[in-house]
Amino acid sequence: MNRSYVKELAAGVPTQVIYAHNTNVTIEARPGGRMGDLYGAGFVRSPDGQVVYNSAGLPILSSQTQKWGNAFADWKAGLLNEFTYKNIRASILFDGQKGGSMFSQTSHKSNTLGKTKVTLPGRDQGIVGQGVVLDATGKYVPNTVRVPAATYYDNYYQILNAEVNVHDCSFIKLREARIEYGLKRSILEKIGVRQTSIALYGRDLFDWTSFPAFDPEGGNLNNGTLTPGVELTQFPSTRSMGVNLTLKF
Amino acid sequence: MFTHKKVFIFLLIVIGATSCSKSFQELNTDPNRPKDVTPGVILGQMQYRIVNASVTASRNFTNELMQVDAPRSSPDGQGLHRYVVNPGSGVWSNFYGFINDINAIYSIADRQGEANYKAIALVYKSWAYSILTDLYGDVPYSEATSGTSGNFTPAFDKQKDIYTQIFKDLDTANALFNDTKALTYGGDQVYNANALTGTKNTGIQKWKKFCNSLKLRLLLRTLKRDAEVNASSRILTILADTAKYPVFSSNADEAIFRYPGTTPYFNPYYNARPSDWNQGNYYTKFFINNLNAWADPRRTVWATTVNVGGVATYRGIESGYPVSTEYVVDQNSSYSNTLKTLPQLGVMMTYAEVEFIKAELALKGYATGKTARQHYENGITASMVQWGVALPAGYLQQPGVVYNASASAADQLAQIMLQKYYAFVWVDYQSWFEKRRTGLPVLARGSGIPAENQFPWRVPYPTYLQSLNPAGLAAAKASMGGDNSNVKVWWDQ
Repeated sequence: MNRSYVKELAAGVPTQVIYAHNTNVTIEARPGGRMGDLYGAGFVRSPDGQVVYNSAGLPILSSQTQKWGNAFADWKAGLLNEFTYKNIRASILFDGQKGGSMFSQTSHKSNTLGKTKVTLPGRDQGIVGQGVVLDATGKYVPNTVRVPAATYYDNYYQILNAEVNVHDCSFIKLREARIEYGLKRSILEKIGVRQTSIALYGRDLFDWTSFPAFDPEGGNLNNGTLTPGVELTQFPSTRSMGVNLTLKF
Repeated sequence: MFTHKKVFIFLLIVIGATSCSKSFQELNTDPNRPKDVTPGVILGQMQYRIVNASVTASRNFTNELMQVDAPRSSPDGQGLHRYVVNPGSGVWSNFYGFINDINAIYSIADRQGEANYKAIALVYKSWAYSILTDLYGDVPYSEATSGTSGNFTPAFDKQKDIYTQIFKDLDTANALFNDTKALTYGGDQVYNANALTGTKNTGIQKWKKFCNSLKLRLLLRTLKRDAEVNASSRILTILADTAKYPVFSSNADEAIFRYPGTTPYFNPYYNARPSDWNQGNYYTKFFINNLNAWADPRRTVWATTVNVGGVATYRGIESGYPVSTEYVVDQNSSYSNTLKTLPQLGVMMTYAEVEFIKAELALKGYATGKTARQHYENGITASMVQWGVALPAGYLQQPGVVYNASASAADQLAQIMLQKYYAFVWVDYQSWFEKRRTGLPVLARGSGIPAENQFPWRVPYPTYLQSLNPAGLAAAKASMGGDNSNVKVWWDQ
């Protein structure tokens, strides 16, 4: 469980910036907010909430920063089950978190370069972005300009746009599964072994999440401080499997 | 309980008796480290770093916006060449960092009574703030860099007030410069005013010229606001008394940080990779075609050639092109490798600029001592010398260059400003500031620029101010009438 409140800051400090990734996104503590709020730019929107496009068919980015999430999870939990039947023992560990967001540079980079499935629409005929354009009379009319997909996604997912690059980090992981077989004692006592077991195990086997980059459990090294909430093209985490033989004398 | 008390009292006595009293300060002063810093130590590194910032800004910002270069491909529909200015692009963060150093030089020199360091600090301060305010408009000035005294949210000063103070500071500096005294602690890498030549300090004399040349630049810029800052009468004062207000009179006077090419003072691009240096950007047609038409020898210093039908050719690309356009690698002229190690790349202000300023003033009827044509030709020659090439015979007489003194004043100004534009290459943002002031040179609008994008008049404030100084930012926005790139700064209105 994680609950935090920022009541007030030192005199003369309007907001405490905990971490800033250039001008793209900041992690802040603002009075009235929570520790770890993520701020950055987003789309300019019409009064009814639609994305506003320019005359060239590309969305317009607002220079006003807004809050797009919080770096810290609402809660984390784990569940460990263990079953024993005769000489066989099996265990399975799930854990997960609810809430928490992360600015993902991996997602930004792969989307702007067109390496992800979300960038498939419009690849052949170009794409008309869904939103409105402010016409000469000051009215919002639907955007009708078709632009090449490369242009559209390069612009849409640009690094300055925290709105599309901050993602929910909720996940459930199959953290560990293990099956162990203990050999009979009578055989082993003859050679002086008190207990023997052989086990198969796997760690980080599955990950159920809507987070688009490799791993929702990410962060970055900010001058030696592990900082959650902003992921800067980190490596994928690995699934590990192995055999474990235990001999006790 | 009783024993506890006893122990406690005993401890108090022991601690009290053994703690130091008189020698505390002495014991805690490390005799092996410098206690104080001299202005010379701060000066040298600051000169190097601040000029790197301005040179880098010229390449990354001004060159693309002013159609000197354009990216090889630009599929996202953005880019300065399409008049899209991202908030806070520019030298905000690094310049304010250096201004801390400049203020430290001033205050230490003030304590020590070192007039020359004080004057140099004032020149740097004026130079840096003039660039900051011309970029953004109102910026923190009087309360800036006061974080050590607890003010993290400085108010923004109006551009008019900043300019007024800059002119005052430059006058003060001009009076402070003492050319019979060397810089006690050395450190000057621009003019080497660290020692006397005979009985005079020629370096300090050049600093004084830089001081007044900078003032002339800024007075010309604020001429539209003559009534508020007395620009014209101040210009007349400078022109009338050349002994009291000397300005650059030869290439030897130029404010250039000449990169010595020794550790750590390398040209900032000395180890730039080809992919970063000249495979991602090409010179534009506008920039290269003029140079080709004039057979300008500065091409050889600035640009690479490409092989077109067996002939080494200087060739440029479009600026503001449509998103579908992409230019092939190495098929157009880009930045030459010569520039990567060229000592004179560290330009702050050139002699050529002073001649072009005088040409414009002569055209406006000021008594500069020469005709506009003479200043114009001096300016071109000075730029050639600055870049280390010889002025070809007949260059000044050829069509497109030859000065037409019988043309209309507007046409004459266009001629001056076009050559000034070429002399401004690598000089921070000056060609853009001058374009904003005069509308010159005329730059064609690229076909891929969305109709609503206007040529920028300023850079929007960095977004992090919304977090760190929201009140100051809001006041500045209200005072300037907005924070987008279409808002005109005070001297532009």
